[in-house]
Amino acid sequence: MNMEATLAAAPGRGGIADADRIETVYRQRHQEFLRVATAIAGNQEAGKDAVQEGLARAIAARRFFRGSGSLEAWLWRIVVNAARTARRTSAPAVEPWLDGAEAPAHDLPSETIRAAVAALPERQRLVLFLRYYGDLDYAAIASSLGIRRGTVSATLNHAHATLRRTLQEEDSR
Amino acid sequence: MNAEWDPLVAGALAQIAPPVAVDADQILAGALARVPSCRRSRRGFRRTAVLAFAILVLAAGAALAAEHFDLLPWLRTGSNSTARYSVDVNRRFSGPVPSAVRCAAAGRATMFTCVPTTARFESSWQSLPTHVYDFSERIPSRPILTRAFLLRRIDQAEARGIVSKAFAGQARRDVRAVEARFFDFLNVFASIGTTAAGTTTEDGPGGTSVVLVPPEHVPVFVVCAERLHDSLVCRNLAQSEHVPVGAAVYDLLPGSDWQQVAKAPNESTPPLPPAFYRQLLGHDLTTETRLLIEVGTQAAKASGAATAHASPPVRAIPARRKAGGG
Repeated sequence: MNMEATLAAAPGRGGIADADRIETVYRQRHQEFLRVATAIAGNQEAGKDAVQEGLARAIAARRFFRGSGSLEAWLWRIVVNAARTARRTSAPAVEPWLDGAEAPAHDLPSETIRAAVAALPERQRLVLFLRYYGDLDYAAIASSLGIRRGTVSATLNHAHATLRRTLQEEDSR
Repeated sequence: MNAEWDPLVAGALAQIAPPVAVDADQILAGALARVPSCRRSRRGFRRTAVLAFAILVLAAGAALAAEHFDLLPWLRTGSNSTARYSVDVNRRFSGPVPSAVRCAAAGRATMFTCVPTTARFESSWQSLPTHVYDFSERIPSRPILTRAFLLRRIDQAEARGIVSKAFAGQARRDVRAVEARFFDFLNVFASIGTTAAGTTTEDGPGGTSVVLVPPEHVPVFVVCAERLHDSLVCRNLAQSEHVPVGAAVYDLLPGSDWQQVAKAPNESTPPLPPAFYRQLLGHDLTTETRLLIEVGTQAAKASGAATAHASPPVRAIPARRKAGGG
């Protein structure tokens, strides 16, 4: 699919982030986008919708991308915002995120892990999701969330400590 | 990669959300469909003009002449993109319906079956198969208009300060004075719905706009109110009588059989012709009553009092892929 050609008749073409570059980034990372969006939005359908909405927003607003950061980080920010909006506007998750494709790393049931993650502050959850589901480094996470790199490090440390403690407590019961 | 990686946390997170296979093309095509590049402005609206009719009869003291009023001839609009129909509030249709259907026999039979499809995710309208319809709306319910109902509405309007005490008093007297048959006609009039589709345009050569139009025999709107196994039984919405409340209305997506034509000036939905009123009332509208209808209709549209729902949002459709493009 040649997206720029497809969109050639669209108003506002000729921007700095052309649609083909957006498509390239999306294709390279689409599984991570969906996984992060699903985790934020609460279920896979909402996550898929958020990725779609984020992509549409990015394509429509591509002329506003000024190239001051990476295109991927810009796209991540849009998708994360779309997923957060989906989380706020949709009903609470009625289905598990995604179960059963990998063998559990320990004996804890998924519900326990989910509850532990859900109990984290939103920023900690977002940083965790981008780190582990999005496979982003500190700089990319900082850029995606519009926070400092040092804040990412501190937030991730807090999240690790809290989750470790909770999971180990649950595991020892 | 400079971020630390906690294996325990990584394992736990992988357990609750492992990677999944996803159709990247489908998500991309869906995103493209949301981009307002080649858009179709749907003017979907339903105008019952009940208020206008009430004003007409109440203010003009019109005599109702028609004994047996045949609605069907008045549901013709002469425009392929405008469907006029009548709703039967005593019939209901409910349950889930697909977001898009393909109606292979649309235009070839009065009633036809439509099957769920995901073909609307195609990126180019030229690559879409023919006769694919996108869900538009459900036929909304409306109250049955009776003398008691109108009196209650007048009370409410007065209590909320929408109308003056004097106006409400006069309206009550009028409502009590009209003959019972008035409400039968009022309900006939209120049952008429109109839904119109805007034009589907795209950029043509030299910065001009061209309009995409479907083949003339293919209905632009279909209405489905019956299930048959995994399919829906549907018909052309235009000139349909007794459409159940809750019936699913679908509108046609551009397909490979659509053609480009030069853009014409905007057309407004044709009003009900003067002969409609002549048959209904037994005489032509006077200038004053015509004016009252116009004022009443505009007031109803502005306040939403007599319009069944607001216009749906403009929906983008997949842009046409230019020659040579991937």
